[in-house]
Amino acid sequence: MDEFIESFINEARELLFQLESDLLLLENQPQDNEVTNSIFRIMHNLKGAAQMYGFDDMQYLTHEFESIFDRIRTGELKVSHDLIDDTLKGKDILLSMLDKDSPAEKDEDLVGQLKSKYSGLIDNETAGIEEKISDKPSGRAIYCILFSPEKEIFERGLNPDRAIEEAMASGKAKIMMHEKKTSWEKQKTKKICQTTWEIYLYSAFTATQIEEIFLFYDKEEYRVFQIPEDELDQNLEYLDFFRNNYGKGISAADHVKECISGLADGAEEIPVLNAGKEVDERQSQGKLSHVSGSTKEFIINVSSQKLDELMNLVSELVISGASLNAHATRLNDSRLSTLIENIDKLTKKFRKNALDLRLIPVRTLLNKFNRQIRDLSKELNKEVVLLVEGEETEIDKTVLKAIESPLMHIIRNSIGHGIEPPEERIQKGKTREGTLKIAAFYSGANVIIQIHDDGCGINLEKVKQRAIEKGYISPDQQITDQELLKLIMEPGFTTSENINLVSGRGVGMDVVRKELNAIGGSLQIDTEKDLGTSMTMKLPTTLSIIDTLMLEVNDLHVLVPLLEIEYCYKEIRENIYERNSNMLQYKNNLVPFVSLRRKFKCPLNNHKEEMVIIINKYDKKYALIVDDIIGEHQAVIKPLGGLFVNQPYFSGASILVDGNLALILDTNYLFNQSVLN
Amino acid sequence: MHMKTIDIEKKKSYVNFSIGKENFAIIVDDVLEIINLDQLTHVPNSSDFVLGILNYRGNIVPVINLHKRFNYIQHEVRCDTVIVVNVMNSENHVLMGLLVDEVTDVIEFEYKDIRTVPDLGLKYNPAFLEGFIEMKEKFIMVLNVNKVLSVSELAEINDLSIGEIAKKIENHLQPE
Repeated sequence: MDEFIESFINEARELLFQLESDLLLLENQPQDNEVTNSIFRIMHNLKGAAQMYGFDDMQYLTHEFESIFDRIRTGELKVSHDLIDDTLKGKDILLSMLDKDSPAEKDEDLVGQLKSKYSGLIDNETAGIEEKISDKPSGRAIYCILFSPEKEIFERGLNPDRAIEEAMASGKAKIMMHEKKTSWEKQKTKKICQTTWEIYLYSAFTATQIEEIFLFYDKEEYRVFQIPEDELDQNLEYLDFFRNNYGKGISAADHVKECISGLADGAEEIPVLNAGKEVDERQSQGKLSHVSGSTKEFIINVSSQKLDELMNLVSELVISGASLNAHATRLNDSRLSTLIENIDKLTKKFRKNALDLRLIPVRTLLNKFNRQIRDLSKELNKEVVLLVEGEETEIDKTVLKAIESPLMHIIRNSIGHGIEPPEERIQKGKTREGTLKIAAFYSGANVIIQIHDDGCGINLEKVKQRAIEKGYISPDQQITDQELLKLIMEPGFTTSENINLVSGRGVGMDVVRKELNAIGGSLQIDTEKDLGTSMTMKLPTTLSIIDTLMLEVNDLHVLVPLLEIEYCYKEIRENIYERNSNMLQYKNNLVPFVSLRRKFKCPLNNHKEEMVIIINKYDKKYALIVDDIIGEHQAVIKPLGGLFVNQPYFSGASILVDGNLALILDTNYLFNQSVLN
Repeated sequence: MHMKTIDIEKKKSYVNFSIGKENFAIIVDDVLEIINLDQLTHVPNSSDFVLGILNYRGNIVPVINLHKRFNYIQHEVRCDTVIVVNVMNSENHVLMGLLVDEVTDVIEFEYKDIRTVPDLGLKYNPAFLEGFIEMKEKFIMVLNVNKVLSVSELAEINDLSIGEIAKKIENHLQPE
């Protein structure tokens, strides 16, 4: 059962996520019925599922929203900013309710508020229905429903029988099945639907309520007609319909008459007052998996463990392929070589495909910001238009997660300090609304995310002043704009007091840079006074594969991430070890060095020259002394496992083409261990 | 800890191998494959028991030197047989390789035939053993793989404070 609850929570999260973007869309296009319907459906589905899994508070709240959006659907209520605000608030509360461990505060307040705010429109359940019933004197009507689901309806996870049962339960019904080719039972086993139902219903439901029974079906799949009892003979729409479809031979009106005769008798059997409630409960069992119509793409959730397993198998395949290739070359069989070439190509495609599975579009992250940008600009009385480009650009899930907070920092800064208040913008001859543009695109093996605002830009004069005050530069020092901008990202350059001092770009830019560095990314800032600021993030597409340089230390292959290497050169032994201080000379500077042979307790070699690798990570500069450089290697990182927690020099291993292993050096740990101590 | 139910009257197959002069047996359920050690990567500064790592079907598998584990003095014998075993480590399966001198054969016996080892005079921890059996006038020690290859014990993290362990693990953690 827990498993089901978990899957419900996951699905509910996704629904709420969808809800938020729908709400924001609705705010811009209040007339869009499609969006209103989608929101209604989400609330409805959530309500049903919440009831099934015992999330009572959630059921209660979604019910209120469902009612509100039903009124919007029917045009009784208009979309307002206030309403969107309240619903967004509601969404947050719903989200917190999913967290069963920390029960959310009771939401009586919000429900009460909603009720009073949209009162007259939402009353309690019974009142609402009574009102509807009073519209029609008898409270009941005869409906004709024509229901013909598409052939592949089962693939959508729907069973037409359910809808029929539901319709039957809502009143007194007469049902005729028009089966094509085979019987319905047979169609069901074959999972092909070729049946049309003709349902006559005498019910207390309104036409809308009846349509709700077929909520999950497309508009083309069902028609609901209300049949006016006394005017059957008139040439009405439904009769036209009949004539076109079935009316050959017999009179359509007669046919309908015959069908509905006797239906209206014994009406007292039909429940009236509770009808609305009942149907709600029944519908609430509707499947969560069938979400709104806007996302047609079919998404499957797969645990990352399975993906890792797939990656393992793929790497194994690559390695086996390589040794097969080597063997074939020895045999010198041309036919075999062609075959292997083919397999090689397929394997490469397979590998790329497997890697792609870990990638998700940046859209999933940017959608989150939509909301925050909206709230923030409101809070700060600024008007901001968000433009997004390349939201389908894909990036590793881990990377995407890691850039969430840096991206938020940057966006906050852009709105808070970059974009000016409307009045000021008009004075400057700019448009009233500021524009925040987020663009994502590929660049080689990297993904670039650029955040551009057309605000006031960074005041470089003030940055310079600040840098002088802080002692980063001397007053008469020549410094380029780019260098000044780099200073902003210095740790300690920004303190809380100078957020206001430096007009803009204060908050934790060093943190942003650090977080990006940690995943192998970088940040560049460009700014121009009154034209705006661009922040450009350069990110690796994936973390499980990194570009490394392979080094050799006494037969051992060691990998160092290419990004961390500043420079490599050969140096004569004596020049390295001449000082006792473990420092060597590099570009007019002394940098500490670590000899990997010594570190790994290998016998010292007697080479005349050694290879010096200058490592530069988080601005910690030091040198590695190794035997030789072997070359670049695209490393698929694999963890070493629990046995090696005791020796943290290596952060993992990678399988080489020949099946051998190379160890990935943890340069950071090495620095802390060897240089600082 | 995961518990297996054992039918003590059912014959089970065991891999019989030697380390030094002693004979050992491991139940075949725990054994994945017996391979030749040809590509071993030594990991500098790792524990004494760990000879290195090898690539076993795309998995990084540590190879354990059982001579060291059992405090035997290793004579210059060239041994290159590795038994790849599946070890249960707090609900997780971990693959490990055991370097042994020679795999002799596969033997069958019933669980109830296993006798308790007197814990006097053993060079190693008696908890490593299920017990011993007598077969063909030889004594064969039946190993408990999960105990011999307990990850936390092999990694010697018992000697460290909790803080140090946390730090080490943090340093070691792979990005997801």
